[in-house]
Amino acid sequence: MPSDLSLRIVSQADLGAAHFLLTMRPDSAGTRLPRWDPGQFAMITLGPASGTNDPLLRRPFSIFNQPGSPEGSVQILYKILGRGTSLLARARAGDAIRCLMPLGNGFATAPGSRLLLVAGGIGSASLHPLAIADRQRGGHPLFLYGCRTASELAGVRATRDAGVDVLVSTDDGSSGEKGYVSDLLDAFLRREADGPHGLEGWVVCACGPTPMMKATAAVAAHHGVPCLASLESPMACGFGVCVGCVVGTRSGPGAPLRYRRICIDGPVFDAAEVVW
Amino acid sequence: MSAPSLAVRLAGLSLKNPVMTASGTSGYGLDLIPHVDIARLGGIVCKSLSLRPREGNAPTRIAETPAGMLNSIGLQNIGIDAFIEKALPELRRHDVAIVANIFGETVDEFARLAARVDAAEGVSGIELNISCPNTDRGGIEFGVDPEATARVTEAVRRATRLPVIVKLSPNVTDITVIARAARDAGADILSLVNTFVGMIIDVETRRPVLSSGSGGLSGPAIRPMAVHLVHKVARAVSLPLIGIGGVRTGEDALEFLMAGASAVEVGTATFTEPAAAARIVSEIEAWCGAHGVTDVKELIGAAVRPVAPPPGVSGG
Repeated sequence: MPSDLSLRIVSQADLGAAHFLLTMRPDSAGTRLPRWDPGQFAMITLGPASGTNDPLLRRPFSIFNQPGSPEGSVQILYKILGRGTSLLARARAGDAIRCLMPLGNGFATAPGSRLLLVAGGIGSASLHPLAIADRQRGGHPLFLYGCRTASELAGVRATRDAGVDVLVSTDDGSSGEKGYVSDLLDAFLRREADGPHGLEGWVVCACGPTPMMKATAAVAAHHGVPCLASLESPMACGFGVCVGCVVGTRSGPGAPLRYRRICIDGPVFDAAEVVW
Repeated sequence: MSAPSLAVRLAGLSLKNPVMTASGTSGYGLDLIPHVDIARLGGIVCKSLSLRPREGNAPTRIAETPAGMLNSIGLQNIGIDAFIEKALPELRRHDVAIVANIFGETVDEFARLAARVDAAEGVSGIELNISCPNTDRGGIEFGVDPEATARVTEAVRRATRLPVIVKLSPNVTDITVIARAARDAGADILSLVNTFVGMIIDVETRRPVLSSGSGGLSGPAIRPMAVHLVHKVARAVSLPLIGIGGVRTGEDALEFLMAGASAVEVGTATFTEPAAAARIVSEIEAWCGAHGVTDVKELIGAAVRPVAPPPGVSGG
């Protein structure tokens, strides 16, 4: 059940290349944080409960850390992309935050799945907690991270520091393979398909810009590997009532187009059903 | 002092307090239930219902604007049958007035929808969406034309015994002309205003941000315009009014009451705070308590009535 929480900023770490890690904690000692699953998100804004005029709307962010952390904190990893994130980046320790969470459905991967996490840029923020949770369960997830240039490795440093295997591609070749992360995925799946276990058990979980997700979903489908896509969209409410954040889906070839709400029907969808 | 009385009665519509949700901002009420006790609200106005389910417009459907937002959802809804069979029974388990907002592409569709709602148990009123600016064939054509407004209102009036609320568009030259047409055709209540038509353009792509081009502007940005229009209609017609437009606090709601509305609908504020409508009820109650107002009805139209001379001052 989501809660609309009053939080305070504990710290705001500038990770470089316009990436920030924001750590928040309940305003009052008696407030217990709800539990959440990797891939769920929060609607966040600065200021009082009754809201502000600028920005008017809260912004959706994946919850970055694991639930039940001893210090009882909530973290988000974000990149400055527009007005909302610009204002958030100016906030300092002690500032008040309103946080509606947890929202949406996390990644529903079958137990024993081998996770291939494919992140485009700041899409890493929703896949990082899945990688950590999988490792805690004894899994060996592989994290593929694509970005424009080496400085944007800021978005994957925490994942790498946590011991997750990370392969990188950059558009300009300044780090890792030159090219797109979907090319990395394709190369990996080709190698793995020829290996002793084949592609049995692999599941792709993807989050990033739409063209990257579309390409990733196509690669996964080409290899017959299931693909879960965590989508994002401008959202007014985040809990289903505005119907502003829809994505077109089809349950199968030739099935009618259905607009489903990313916030409450997702944000994680079977990529094969998404009309990209 | 005992708690102030917040109950209001608009024609045949009784509300425990003057705060309802606006159509299209709380779904069918059900998505609000995890976030707020909806029994604290005066009423729930459900998302616009059509005879058949509608998928609505392609994204992008929403965009933030200064102190407001644009939407162009395209009236996506589950259809009247699913509402009556699935959503309504669940909603009725809560002690809150339910208003069905309906939308047709023809006068006959409005009448058929009204008859379906009338036959269902548990609905307290019908609000006519004659002013939604988002579809090609519906909405706007009715709400900007006094004759079309009258035809739709009459047809619905004949199809139901429930209170009929006509929701007015602000995108007209003179809203009082439409208000009088609705009144003369049998409307019990007028609600105003629906969203103002607006557009924003992405200067990088050189295209409108919304896929449909224009959308409906809502939020605090429109509140002074909405208060003005309520005040104007209150002077022109004697029907009970519901004020809509950027209400976010108890004082915002009181502005609409003083402008002549008997109740308000809260819309965009719910997006930014799920419990906004319930908080606004508490704020109205606290304001009344702090100002010695024992009954919120005393405030209705306070800014429309002629100003009385202060005590002790004689005329001339």
